[in-house]
Amino acid sequence: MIELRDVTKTYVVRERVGFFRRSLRREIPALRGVDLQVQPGEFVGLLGPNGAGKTTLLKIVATLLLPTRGEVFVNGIDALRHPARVRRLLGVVLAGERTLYWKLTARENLLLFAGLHNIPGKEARRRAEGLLSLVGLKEFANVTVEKFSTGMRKRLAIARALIHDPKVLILDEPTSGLDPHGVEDIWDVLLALRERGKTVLMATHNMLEAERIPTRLLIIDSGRIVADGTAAEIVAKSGAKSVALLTLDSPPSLLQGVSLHANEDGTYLIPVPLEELPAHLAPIQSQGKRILNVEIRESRLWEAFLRLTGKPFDDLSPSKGEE
Amino acid sequence: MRPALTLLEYTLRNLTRYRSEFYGSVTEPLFWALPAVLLGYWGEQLGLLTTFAETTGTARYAAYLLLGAVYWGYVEAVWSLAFSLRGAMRSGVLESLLVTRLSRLGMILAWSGARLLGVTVHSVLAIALVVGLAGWPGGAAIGQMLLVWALSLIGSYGLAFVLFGLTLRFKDAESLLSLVGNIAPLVGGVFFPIALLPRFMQIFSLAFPFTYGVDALRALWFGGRSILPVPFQLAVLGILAFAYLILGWWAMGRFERLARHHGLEGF
Repeated sequence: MIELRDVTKTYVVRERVGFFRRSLRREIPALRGVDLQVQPGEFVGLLGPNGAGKTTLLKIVATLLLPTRGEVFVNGIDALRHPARVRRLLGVVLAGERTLYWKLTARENLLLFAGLHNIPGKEARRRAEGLLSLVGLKEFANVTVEKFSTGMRKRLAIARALIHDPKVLILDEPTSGLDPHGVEDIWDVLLALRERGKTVLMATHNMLEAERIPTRLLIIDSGRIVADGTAAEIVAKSGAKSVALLTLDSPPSLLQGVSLHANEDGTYLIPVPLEELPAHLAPIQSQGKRILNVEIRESRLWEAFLRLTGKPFDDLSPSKGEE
Repeated sequence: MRPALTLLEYTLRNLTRYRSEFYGSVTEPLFWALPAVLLGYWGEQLGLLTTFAETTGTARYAAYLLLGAVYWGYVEAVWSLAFSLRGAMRSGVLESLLVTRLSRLGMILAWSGARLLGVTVHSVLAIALVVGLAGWPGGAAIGQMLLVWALSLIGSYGLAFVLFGLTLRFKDAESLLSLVGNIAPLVGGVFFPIALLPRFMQIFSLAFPFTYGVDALRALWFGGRSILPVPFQLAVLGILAFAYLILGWWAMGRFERLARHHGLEGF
């Protein structure tokens, strides 16, 4: 259904350096030889830290970006040579909430995009009503999008991506920036799509979402896929165990094998394997650091992720992604 | 065709929702008409500005300006569609549009179509004033004027393709668009004959299809001399218009490919 062969993407940026503002060419690798196959009916999650290459990968599949090297096929069609044919097969929801016309109503947005996919008026109206029900926005069909909450906009964006009944749905962080209720609403929609056997490739920032929603998970780091399987398989392969998340008032001196994550509120987060917690508590306390909170994450995907990438996850703050 | 027509329909619908901008654009023709009313009608027809009118021939000059403004309105409506592209980039809907079945040409035709409809609404009053001030040019001239109009729009689409591609690639193209918008009418003889321009600027004027277009239009409506004999001028306009169109299409393809290498986001 989706096949990527040796896909590499390198961005070239120019920087001004030195006293004479000399122009310096710098290459930033985003993807490094990615091979990937997504089968029909699979719901594949793409989990990775910021800058891992998730969005770049999705945009290449969506024909919005050309790779530096490699091949991309959707339903056997070469996406680099025949992007217009591939677009007919794809429904795409990109990150951000301004992907809709805010001055149009929910129904008008769906009818507009139905027309852009060459769907006749009567059929478009039928599909729009069905999708508004699916995403729980039927009673807001005639409300302009500018009056919607972020969560409603995200649900409408998903409906918009489904208006032409695409073979493949591409979602870029569909729950980012949502409150727990908003996340729950989107998950309901995603689970309904999974039940219907829709092929989905979804980038996510949310560890809980990565565990619950996709049928298969890929962990991507620095442009490479470092793990592939179900969440349980990935955890088993990595030998990961439960994680304790320590919130401190100030950063401690570097502890061996532990990463430090600065929170927006000025506190610091340290994820440590649960079994190593006692060993880490003593040096932290001896440095006079105050432990504000200790949270035990039963989800062992957290540690698998840390082991595989060696990096803290941006979504480590305890309340994010929680119901 | 359906995708382009749908985008046209909803672009117009969306425009009406931005009320202050919509009413501003609807009342714009009144501002166009004001100089013509002041100079042409009050001055020359009613004799309220008798001395000024006798010296300057204000009615004819008002008609001259109005016809130029109408012509330029159509030309600009097409190439300035890059502003619509920029608007779609800013509002974040561009990538959503690009992953539909809407072709690039469909997008360009829909956005320019919406602008052309707007200019047509604006132009009705201005054309009525030109008829009032300078008389009806006659059926034969109207046919040739429509040919001038059509060829000029073809040339303008060539320019639109280049600016569309440039905007896709470099995103922040407003200053370039504003520069073209400010300089082109001066160089193209919209406000005064290009013979009044310095010699070196006339070289640019003569490479610009719209110079021949606006000049031919006035010669056909008001009589008088054109830069070249009218049939020859129409031929030059046609050649330049199609050259612009072909080069513009080629340039847009190149810029679009570059844009797909670099990514379309970024504001």
